[in-house]
Amino acid sequence: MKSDHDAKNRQRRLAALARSERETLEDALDRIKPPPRYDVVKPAETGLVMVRGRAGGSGAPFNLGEMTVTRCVVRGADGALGVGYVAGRDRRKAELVAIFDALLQDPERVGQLESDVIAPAEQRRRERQDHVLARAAATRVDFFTVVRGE
Amino acid sequence: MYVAVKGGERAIANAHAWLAEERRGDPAVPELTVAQIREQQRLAVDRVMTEGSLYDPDLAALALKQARGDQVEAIFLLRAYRTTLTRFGATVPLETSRMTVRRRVSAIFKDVPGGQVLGPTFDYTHRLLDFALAANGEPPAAPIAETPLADTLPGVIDVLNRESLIETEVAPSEAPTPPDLTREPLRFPAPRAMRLQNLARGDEGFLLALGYSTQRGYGRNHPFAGEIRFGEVTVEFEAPELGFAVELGDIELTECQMVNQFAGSKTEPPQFTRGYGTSFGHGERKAMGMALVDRALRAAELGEEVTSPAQDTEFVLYHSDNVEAQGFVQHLKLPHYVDFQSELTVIRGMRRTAAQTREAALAEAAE
Amino acid sequence: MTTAALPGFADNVHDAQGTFRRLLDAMAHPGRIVTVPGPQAAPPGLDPATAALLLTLCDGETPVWLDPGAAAIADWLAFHAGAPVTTAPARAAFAVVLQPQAMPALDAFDWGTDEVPEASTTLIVQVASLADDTGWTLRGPGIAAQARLAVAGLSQNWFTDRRAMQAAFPRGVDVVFTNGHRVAALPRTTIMES
Repeated sequence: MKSDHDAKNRQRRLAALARSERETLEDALDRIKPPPRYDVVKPAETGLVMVRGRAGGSGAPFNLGEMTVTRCVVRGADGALGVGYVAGRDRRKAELVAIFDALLQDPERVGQLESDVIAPAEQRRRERQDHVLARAAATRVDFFTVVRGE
Repeated sequence: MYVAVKGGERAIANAHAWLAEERRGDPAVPELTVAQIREQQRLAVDRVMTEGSLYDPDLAALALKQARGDQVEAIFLLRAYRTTLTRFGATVPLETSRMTVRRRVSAIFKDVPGGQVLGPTFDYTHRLLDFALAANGEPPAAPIAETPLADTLPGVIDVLNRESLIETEVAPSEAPTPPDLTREPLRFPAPRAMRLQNLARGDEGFLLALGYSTQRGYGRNHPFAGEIRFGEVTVEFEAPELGFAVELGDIELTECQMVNQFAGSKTEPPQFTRGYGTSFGHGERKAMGMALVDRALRAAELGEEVTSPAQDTEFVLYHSDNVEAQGFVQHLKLPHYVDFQSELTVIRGMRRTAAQTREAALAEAAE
Repeated sequence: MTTAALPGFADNVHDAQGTFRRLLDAMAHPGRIVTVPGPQAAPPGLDPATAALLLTLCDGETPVWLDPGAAAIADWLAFHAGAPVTTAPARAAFAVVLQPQAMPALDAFDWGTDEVPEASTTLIVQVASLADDTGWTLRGPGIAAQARLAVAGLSQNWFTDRRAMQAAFPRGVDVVFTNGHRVAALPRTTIMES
């Protein structure tokens, strides 16, 4: 039985992988020698998920519209199942995410992959976000009140 | 009544070939790429995603290219495409309060935590044609503040509703599965979740006009833009293979909280009620129109008299979908030869009867 | 998890479409036995045809009822089809029966309504043998004169229950029998004679 801590870590890593570029993941996989073996359990498949919003932003859920999603499941050489879910229609990317998810469950590999793949992905996301938030901050209104009648 | 008519096949094929040529335009002008449409006609892409009810910027851009920029046609293409895909399930409801905000303004509270953030807006532009754009060229980089905004900005209404004078929206602890118009037909009385889905897919022009009609007195409900926000929201999905929610990525989303004066009813004290609007991407006008109409459609629930089109649930929900509307209007172009022949016969008969009646009357008068 | 993650169809889209096409043939010709290739592997106790039908028909929007013999396939079904399991046969879109002798009466399942008769349970009943040259005599849409179907292992009451259901048409359930790679259908339109 996996602990909550493991599940949380896996969740965080999957979030970082899903936001990575396909090329970045492909390069990271190429750097692993010898190339890891894996079997495809569920071939990459593109489908839809219904995106739910909430009335008033915080109330009862409603169906807002769908989005494209691609998923894939692989089994690593040690038997660990890797699952990839990514927004969009990139089947290879979903497979790469699944491969890394399987590899990251290997205690011998996790440290290296965390610093080689996950940490840089998280940092890139942070930088992108900060760039957006800094531009947004530049458009913040500084109100000043004109004193009248004196 | 329709009768199968043959013989149009070659004409149709040739018409489509010409259409493809027209789509391409003058070959001396470089062809548009899907990526160019996605990046440079983004608001058109956003509208196609919203009303096509499918978030996929590349597909929406492709649809626009194929439709020669015709939005409703592109929306139709996207709606048709989605039917070819299986659905994996539904996401965890979006947490828009955790949006990475690019724009967030409130017209009811000046001093909101985080401030009034204008973001990339057309507001305050002079609406003068910029001939510099005709010459192409890169714009100067937008200024960057030293301190970025906070990662999340709380909802204006929730934070500033200290006196509880504004209605609150609380998620029910046991939320039933919301109805889904892609799986079941409209039914009346339509629950709010069904109305919101219908409006979210609804035609922007239709909702804009209806929202406007409420402002001009057809179902007046004294609206204020409580908050408008646009930015990125994380989408989470409970993957059956994993047993926990996995982040799929982020989508761009616009949200409008309209706040409306309400005199109170037998069960509700006087307060401000709310209307909600949302769209994929940056769709402020759509979100505002939708919020006005959402509020108008709550008339019956709030004990208001239903007097105007925007308050009439059946009228609004049955006519909001532009794919349905264009289909029914445009089907009039299809051959109605036999229909019309039968109408001609009827009219001829009526004429004959009318003429006989007239002659009889004249004969009577002459006697 | 080991059973759950058994490989499914080799080619999800085409194998599911192929299986669906054959099921359509079986449904259109009640009593006719068709064969389906089946997935790469099936959980213990599940015949290839039963597994193939489940992978073809079930998804996140179809609650599935499992009889006690099929209870162990819940994880496999969730993994491959994302289909939720329901404990109430009356709410099931599909029902999987591996122990036909002990299956609930037909009226325990959803028969739909006169307005929406298609919103009913489809039963997938795995049996020990299937034959189309003996057994029941079938008549009705999709059958030129008459068809035969013999199904092993059903309880004594089953035939009476099924005949009683005919009076409720268009309400009712459609039944698909599986055995090995073979599939035969008994849609609600079929009239059973002794």
